[in-house]
Amino acid sequence: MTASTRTSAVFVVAGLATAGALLVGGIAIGAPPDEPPGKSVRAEAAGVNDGSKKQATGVEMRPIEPGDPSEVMGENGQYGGCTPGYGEGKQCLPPTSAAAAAMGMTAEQHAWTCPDVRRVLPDGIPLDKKGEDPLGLDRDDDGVACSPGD
Amino acid sequence: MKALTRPVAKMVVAALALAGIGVGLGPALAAPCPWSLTPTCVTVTQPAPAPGSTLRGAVALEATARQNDASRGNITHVEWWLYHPSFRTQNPNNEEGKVLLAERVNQPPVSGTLTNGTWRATWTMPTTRSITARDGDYLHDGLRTYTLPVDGQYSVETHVLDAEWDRTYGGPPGRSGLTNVALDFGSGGTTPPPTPPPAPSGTDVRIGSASFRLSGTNVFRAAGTLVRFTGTATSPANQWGFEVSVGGDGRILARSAYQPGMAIPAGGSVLSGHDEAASWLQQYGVVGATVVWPGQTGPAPTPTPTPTPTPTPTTTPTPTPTTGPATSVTVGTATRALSGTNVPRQAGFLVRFTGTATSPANQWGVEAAVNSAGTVTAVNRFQPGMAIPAGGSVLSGHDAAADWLAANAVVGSRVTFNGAGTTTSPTPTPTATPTTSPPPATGLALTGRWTVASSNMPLRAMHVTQLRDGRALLLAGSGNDPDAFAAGQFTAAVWNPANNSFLNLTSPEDMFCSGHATLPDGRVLIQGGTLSYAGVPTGEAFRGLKSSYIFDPATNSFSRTNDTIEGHWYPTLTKIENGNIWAAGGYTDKAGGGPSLSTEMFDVASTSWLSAAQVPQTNRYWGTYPHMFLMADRRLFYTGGHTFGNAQPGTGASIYNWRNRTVGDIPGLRDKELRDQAGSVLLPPAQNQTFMIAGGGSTDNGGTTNSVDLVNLNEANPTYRPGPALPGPGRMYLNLTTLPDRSVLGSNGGTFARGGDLQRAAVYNPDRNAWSEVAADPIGRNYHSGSILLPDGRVAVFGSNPADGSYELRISIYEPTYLFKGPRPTITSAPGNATYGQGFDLGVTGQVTSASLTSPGSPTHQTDTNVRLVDLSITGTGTARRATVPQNSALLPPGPYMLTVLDANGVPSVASWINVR
Repeated sequence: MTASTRTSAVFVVAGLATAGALLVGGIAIGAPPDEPPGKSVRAEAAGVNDGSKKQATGVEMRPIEPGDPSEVMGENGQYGGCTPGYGEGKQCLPPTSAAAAAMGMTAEQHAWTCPDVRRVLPDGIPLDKKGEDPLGLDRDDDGVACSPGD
Repeated sequence: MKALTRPVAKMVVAALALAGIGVGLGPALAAPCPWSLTPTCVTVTQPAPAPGSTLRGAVALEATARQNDASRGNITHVEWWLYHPSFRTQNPNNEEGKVLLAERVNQPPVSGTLTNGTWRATWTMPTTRSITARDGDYLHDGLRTYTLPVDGQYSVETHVLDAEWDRTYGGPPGRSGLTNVALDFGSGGTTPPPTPPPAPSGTDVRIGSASFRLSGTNVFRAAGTLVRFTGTATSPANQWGFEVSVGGDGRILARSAYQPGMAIPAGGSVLSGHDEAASWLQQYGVVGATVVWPGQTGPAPTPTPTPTPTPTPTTTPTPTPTTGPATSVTVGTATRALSGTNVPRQAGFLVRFTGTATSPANQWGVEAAVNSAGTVTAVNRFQPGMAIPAGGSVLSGHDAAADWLAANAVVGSRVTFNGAGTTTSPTPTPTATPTTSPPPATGLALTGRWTVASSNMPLRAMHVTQLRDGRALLLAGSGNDPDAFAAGQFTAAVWNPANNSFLNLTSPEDMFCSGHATLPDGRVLIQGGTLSYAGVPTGEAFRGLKSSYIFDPATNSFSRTNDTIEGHWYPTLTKIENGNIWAAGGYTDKAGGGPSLSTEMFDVASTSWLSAAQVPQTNRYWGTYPHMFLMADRRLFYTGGHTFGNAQPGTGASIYNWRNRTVGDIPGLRDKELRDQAGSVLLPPAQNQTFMIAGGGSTDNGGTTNSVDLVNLNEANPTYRPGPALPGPGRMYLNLTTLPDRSVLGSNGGTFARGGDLQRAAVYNPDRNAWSEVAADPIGRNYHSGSILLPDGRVAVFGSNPADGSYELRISIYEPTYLFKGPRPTITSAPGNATYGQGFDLGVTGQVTSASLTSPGSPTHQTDTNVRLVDLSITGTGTARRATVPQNSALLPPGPYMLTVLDANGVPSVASWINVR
């Protein structure tokens, strides 16, 4: 990209973004690309400042239902977002490896392999309790998952 | 991993991944090469250019490289870099100050072997004293243009990478060392002409001079692979990659970053990359570039055959063309691939509808009516079934295609349908596809500046609150350290940014994972924390404290209040219109743990938590650190953001009236299952009641998103609508900071749970609805990081707690761009207190155009629901102004605020503290 095309690209981008602002009500538009936001971002003061503005009047409000908390809780939050059984509370083996996480929502959880573990934790990660190795990562049974001997 | 074994391993990966088993890329076969300026894994020499030589015209480049560790595999990259101190000045993110002159990627040497050979290339000196090339700004993709200074020391260095590096990114295997050279900007030169781009190897795709191995056509896109999809539907790949659509002539028509299933243009294909292949594609796959497929020898191939796709996860539309199968459409100057004509408008599709009736699409998109003369006559946003003009058509877009259409199709725009069967096929005009500004080239007024505070924090502070005296309260408790928890060593501190000093305090209980908010009198309410620590002993889960404390900055001390109804570990505390504090969420104190279902209310008048009988209870579980904000009508808005766990049922976002126990869904939130540790913010000014949710991921299930959605609650039927994506890949742990110039800084984050640090930063301008990239935080920060606006207009960013359990004790300070735009206005006089609906006199200097109040930040875990910037109406001229505080206390709950004025250049003053009551 040359300097001149780069300048054009900036304006194209700005143009896209400005038009995009039309999608969101309540935001003023029309400032040139380099204008500081404070100069043209204005408040829709009427009604909001004095509290008379009625918001989201078309949204149907219904009695709240307790629902099933387990649907929201997930599996590992209670363990600080870590896989139980590893790290002695200091280190954390996240529920998904970086490689699996990159596959996003399709990877089987706990799909850790020792190469993956070592990318994050080069020396492996201790078991909370020796002999209890939910993911089978401590093959040499030294109490450290993915230690050099695993 | 050796290059020869890599394809085999990837096939195994693909097979396993198809079976739903996530795996890595296989074991490391060689030790990583340590990061070093004098690496020894590969020995590199650089015969040309010679030391002290003057470069002009066509410059010969030569390097020899010898692999010293056979297990690391072949040499895969030979790169020649030009260094100059000015490059770093021109782009602060180019930390090494280098630009790429030439490279040989997966190319055989001109002599020798792939493990011990000689590589050559040619770089042609530009005559314009500017160079456009890849650079050392690895945080920002793409090419950038640099001025080549006429003075200063230039150097050239060869960098060599090998197969093991390709797999692990484990340190630079080899570099030649710098050779100082001079550049002659005069004309002429006698060295040989440039080497033409090599033909791609039998399995490589080439774009320009860059090539990458193609893993196959219509095969599963496994980790790190580049795949081609053909057919008539969409790419079957998920959103975790980068894709480009390629027309039948080999030209790239459009790009799609981290979105699922790009539409495949008729007669063309989609090139789809994951991980390093995505990075490669993002860098080289610009619109208008030509793709050379394996086995082709030139840049202008004939259309390739279209084999039947093997995986067909989506339904194949049945096109019924009536006016010829255009493959792309140009609206104004922008071109995008068409998904088809008269086909169902699926997710992300851009479709052309013709005929005599109306578009059959539903309301979830944007449509443009195009008359028979090729002019846009009307644009509909989020309306069903647009009328098709006689002899014309309707362009109908969904999701990203809707954004594109909304951005480019205005009444009067010229529309041209390109491709087979159409009479006009202009050369597509390359257009910028990202919705972000490119990284600024130079100037602190465009980038701002990051520095690191001279002293480190004395504690692992996961919780930060800006105090009304300019200092900041730092809470660690046990600091996510089980040893400290077991020993009962709980810490806190007060940081004074004026002199970077710390006052060490003892936290009365473990405030790790508490919630906090600033009370109307400026003291800080802290509720909850860690009652029991996961894994101590084995099998135990985290449980939350019922206790609460008030921190008084006047005495630097904590005082205990009564207990809440239930314990909370990860509660959200949101101040409401009368100064009371609503609280909910997190994990209970009860044996065995589990969700905390109580709705809590801290009564400011009595300085105590109310009982269950005094607060409407719902037994609804709002999750952990739910992003619950106060609306201007006194209800609460849950943005969909949270920490850990899953999205709320339904649309994932809702309005909640705690008084009468009702809830209403807010539709439109995309990626609702990827809003774990997203950023949420009430955009400035708060009067506009527009909320942003940005980024996030899923700790449990993996994946991150860079999507940004916006919703305006002043509308009668608010719905989340797509905003501009965060620059770069998806990220969790984004820190959002409201700035006094009415913009929002987005910084830091990670591409996966507790890792994959992204240092890049960008500023969102609500006016332009766009991000502009600014300088990057020199420190990578992920989980347990947070940021606050300081009263002087700077931003302080704290902490990071990666998977290895370490904690980042350095504080980064960001000086936004407005601090480099000239003199600042000042507030010469302002009262210490102000009353709702009342005016106050304000003495100022400078060309003041507006005034605002910003509440003090109190973030933890990407949750800071009480931050807001409220616009003040001002009257008067010159140095004597009068400002009026809005009447509506739900717009700005009582408490201390940072009063700033802004001048015509967008430069804010230093804040003056004012109490609103």
